[in-house]
Amino acid sequence: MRGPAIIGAFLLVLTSAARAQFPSWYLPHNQVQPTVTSAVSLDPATGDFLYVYTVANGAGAQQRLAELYMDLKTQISSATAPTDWEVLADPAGGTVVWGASGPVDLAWTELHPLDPPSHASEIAPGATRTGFSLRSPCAGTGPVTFFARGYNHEAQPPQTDANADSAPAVPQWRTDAVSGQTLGPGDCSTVRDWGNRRPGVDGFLGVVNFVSGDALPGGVPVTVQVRFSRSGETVLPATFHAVLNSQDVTAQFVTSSRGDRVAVFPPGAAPLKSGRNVLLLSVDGIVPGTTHQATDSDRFTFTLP
Amino acid sequence: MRPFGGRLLFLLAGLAACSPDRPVNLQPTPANGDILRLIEEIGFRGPVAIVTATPIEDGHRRATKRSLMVPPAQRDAFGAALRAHPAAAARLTLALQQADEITDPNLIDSLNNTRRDSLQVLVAPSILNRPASAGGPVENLVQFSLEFLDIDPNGNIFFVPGGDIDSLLLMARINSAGHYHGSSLLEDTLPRRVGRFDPRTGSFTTSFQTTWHVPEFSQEINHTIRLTERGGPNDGQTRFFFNVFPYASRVTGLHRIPPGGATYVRTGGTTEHPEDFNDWAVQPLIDAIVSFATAYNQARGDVVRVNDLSLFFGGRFDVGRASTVNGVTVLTPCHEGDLQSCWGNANGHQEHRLGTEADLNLTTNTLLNRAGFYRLLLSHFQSVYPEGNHWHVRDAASIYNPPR
Repeated sequence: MRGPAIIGAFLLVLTSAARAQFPSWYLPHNQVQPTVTSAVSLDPATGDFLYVYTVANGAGAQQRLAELYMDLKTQISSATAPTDWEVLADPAGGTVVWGASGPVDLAWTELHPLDPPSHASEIAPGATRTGFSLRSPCAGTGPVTFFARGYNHEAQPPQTDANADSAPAVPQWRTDAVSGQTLGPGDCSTVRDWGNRRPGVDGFLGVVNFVSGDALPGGVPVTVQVRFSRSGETVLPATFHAVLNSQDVTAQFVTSSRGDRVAVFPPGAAPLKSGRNVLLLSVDGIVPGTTHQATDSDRFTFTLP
Repeated sequence: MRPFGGRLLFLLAGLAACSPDRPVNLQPTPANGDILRLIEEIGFRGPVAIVTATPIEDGHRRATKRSLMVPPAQRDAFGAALRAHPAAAARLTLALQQADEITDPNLIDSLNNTRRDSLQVLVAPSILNRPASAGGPVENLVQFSLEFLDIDPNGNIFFVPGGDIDSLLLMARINSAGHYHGSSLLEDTLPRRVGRFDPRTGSFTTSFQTTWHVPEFSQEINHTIRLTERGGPNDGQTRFFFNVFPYASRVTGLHRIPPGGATYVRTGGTTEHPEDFNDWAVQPLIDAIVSFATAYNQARGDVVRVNDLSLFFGGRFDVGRASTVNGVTVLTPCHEGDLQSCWGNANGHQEHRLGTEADLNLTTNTLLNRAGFYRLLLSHFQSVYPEGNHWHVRDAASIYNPPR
């Protein structure tokens, strides 16, 4: 039986509209006012991090919000979308896209044979949808960037003079979106801090998603991802022990699908505290080249607003 | 019959038969006087043009390279001289610094294209529509300095003191760089296809200076010189020189997207730009297309049609001439003998020169597929827009992306 899922707090994320100059023929997609709030928890079935997003479109938006893109630098296990939305994601990572789907808006007429349709499920100005989720074995290593786009027809560049030599100045699509940052999985391919105690045993245990001394953002859950065995050392996972600000939190760690020990600590509640937080982690293992058992005990700190 | 192409093949075949040595490419050293002595040593007694070429790409001067040109009728004699004097020939070969055999991964059409190490000049094509944000239009150049050797009536080799260049002619090698069209003499020498010399004629003392304005097209190009000597022992005599190994304008480093299987198909090949040569690109774009096609196929079960990327040596891709009549855009494909639709008067492909753009389409155009196709395009490429009956996409490295 894995440990209980821990629900994180919601996060309000500010967004910014691009201020690009578009060609006169171009039909923009950035007339939306997205607000993305996120929650992170641990999936009790897999031990992986579950990121759930709620998307609102401000009342002053000029377009219905039709697509949400998120640039990720890591793999995900799965993704889901709310009813009449779809998610298109590559398990290897890259950009995840959620798009309105389901019934096509009855008022929509196509501009040309490639024109993508408008859907009735798009988020209207002043409305909110939730249920956009990602499941990943990776904790957050920092904010991830999203791009929200409103529905508009896809304009064809005008046919220029028959002897023209210019290529159409079609903007990069991320320029034609409203971007922002939110919580999401980061790159967990490497351990960022193996501690600094004894060379022979420091490889027993390390922290994947932050470096000791990091300042972490406030108002959001603190995620911790611990990895064993830097160079193939024999480690005794049952001896793993974790103390956060003098409180034993070992039981709050579960094993993820990739074998890491992971935990999520809600913001604004003990044992987290404002200012300097101290996380003591330890695990036993066999000293390389010997039969001796030793303990890798590392002290990691982070600060919160 | 293709008059110049046929002649070129004959000449190259003749050279290969007469000379076992590789092309006569010279490094910046030795000096031209040393070359004269080396030619004396191998016992060759005929006119020789010493060509010093300095490419200037995007304003950057590259290493100077020297090469020899001989009259077509003297090629056999030149080869025989090399064979008759192996020791001297070896020293000449050493002095000429022959390149090792290098397999050019892009050389997929060996009948119509020359390996990189056998080119006398290799330069990137010009890009006259490069946007200001990427540096503005670029015309690449090759500066040539020509000196000439000849034989006086006593059989002594000497430097031609001066003369008149009556003509400098550039000729495309037929079917090179994936352009399987344009075999007429008019198209063979079309400046938009092969570039131009400036000046093309003129008088000179000691050496003649001229500049090759490199075309936008990737091509293999041959060069002839007609010289009338002024002063010296052969005053008034005319000599004709032909480069024995060609020049080339090429984009290097492109790869062909592999066969797609279940997720995409390669398409768009024509008689003029065959399928084997129209789907080459930089590796990041290929990776993105493969990833995109896999994701789209998994999401919709449909197959991506991968149309034109770039030709295998890049350069301008004259797919045809687009025109709009009564609001409907029609493409007249480039075809043999149609100068309006080929070699620059076409606006079918303004991009597709550097392997950083692609034309993609879905196979089954339902509204559901269309939406998924579009969203996955955005998640895999930097710029995406509908272009006629397909989507045009740009890789992050495309010079045609406006700045963010």
